[in-house]
Amino acid sequence: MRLGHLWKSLFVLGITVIVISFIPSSIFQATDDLSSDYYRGHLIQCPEDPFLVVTETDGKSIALYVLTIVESARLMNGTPIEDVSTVFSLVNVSEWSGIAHLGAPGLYVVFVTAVNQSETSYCSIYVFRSVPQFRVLIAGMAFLVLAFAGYLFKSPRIPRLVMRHREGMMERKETGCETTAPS
Amino acid sequence: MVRRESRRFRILRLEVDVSFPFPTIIGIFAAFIMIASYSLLGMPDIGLQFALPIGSIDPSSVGDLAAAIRIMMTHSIVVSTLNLFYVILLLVPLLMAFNFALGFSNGQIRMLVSYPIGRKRIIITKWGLIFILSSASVTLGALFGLAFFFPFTMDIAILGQLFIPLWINILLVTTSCLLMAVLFRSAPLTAVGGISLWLGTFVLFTMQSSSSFLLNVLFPFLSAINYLNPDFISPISFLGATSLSDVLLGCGAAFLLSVLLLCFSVFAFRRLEV
Repeated sequence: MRLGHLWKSLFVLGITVIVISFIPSSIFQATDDLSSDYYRGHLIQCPEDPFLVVTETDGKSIALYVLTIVESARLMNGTPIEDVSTVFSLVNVSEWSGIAHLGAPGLYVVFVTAVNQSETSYCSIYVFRSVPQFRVLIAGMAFLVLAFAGYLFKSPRIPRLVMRHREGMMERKETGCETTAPS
Repeated sequence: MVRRESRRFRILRLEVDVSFPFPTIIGIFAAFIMIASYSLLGMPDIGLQFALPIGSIDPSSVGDLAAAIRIMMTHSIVVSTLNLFYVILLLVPLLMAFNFALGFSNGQIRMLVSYPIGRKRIIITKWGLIFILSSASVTLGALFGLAFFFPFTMDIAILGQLFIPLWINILLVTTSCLLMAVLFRSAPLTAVGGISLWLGTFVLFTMQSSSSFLLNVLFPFLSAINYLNPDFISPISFLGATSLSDVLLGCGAAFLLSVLLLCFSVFAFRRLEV
């Protein structure tokens, strides 16, 4: 691949990755009936901090915890929620929307439970990807910066006529047949 | 030594310059990256949900969670590669038609055989480039998509179990289209024949209710997916259980069939009146 093609390829890849970073999509949505006797758990995969919308239908209080896989396993093995380190939590809310700062992409488990005893709650959870996805956008920008840097700082182009002259000289040296111009 | 090697690869470079001028290859890569990313982002969640009694030990939930994580990893890799496989079934016959079969009618093959280059080298270079381009596009597209969106799902074991049958499957598709190009010597016939043959057999096999030996041979990639059993709704999810030996047997048979078809194509091309 010629060097000029490399910069152009990086430019094409950069534009592709930047376009990808703007693709909107939802990660997960569910409607649960909740009780204070148990947690409802959902496994989700988050490439980046998601946009979260939690709504309790009747305005009752609920609690929501986002846990890593390891901490979820601890919770499942009987550790109380107070002793488990949560990545993100909402306690005593009936309606909430915003970006949940998880810190790193990965697999997480969302646990939801009702706060008040002897009351059944109905809760809707929507998890969306935040757009643009900054990690992807930064990767695309890095490709573009590399492409522009390569384009700006490339070696000065040798004029085609000079190149041809040089090639001709090399060929004549290799074959050993120096031609002399007729006098 | 260096000079001889550079001569050996000169035909390859010439073929890249003539058949795939500059933006073609990077354009194909970019398209595959886009398709893989769209597939991954449009992927439905696997819907694992469970009720965990507060303050009690529930080992079954931990087991469920571990199983769900494995399903999710497999699911991510399968979804990205399966959608690219549909594209490959369309792209490879087209590439073979317009980079090889069209050469019979526009005089490119006649010009190439007039040079001191062996016919075997010409056909293998053209076939090899199309195979490398298609398999590399699928692999890079899927890996780019996974690395950007689900880096935590990139399990080497699952990737290996899916990518090796996928490459063998692409090898079989490419070789069969090469044979068609040599026999038909017509770009439209090769394109239509290749697409209808592979898409037709794909639809036919996925309409079956059970896995068969022919399916394992013609589509080792699908039998590998079936073996991994990602448990999601797709045209192939209802096929019967596939064991590892079925996948290995299918891969081996598909590889042998590809080699046989390639030998036959080279044999036919060497005896062809151009």
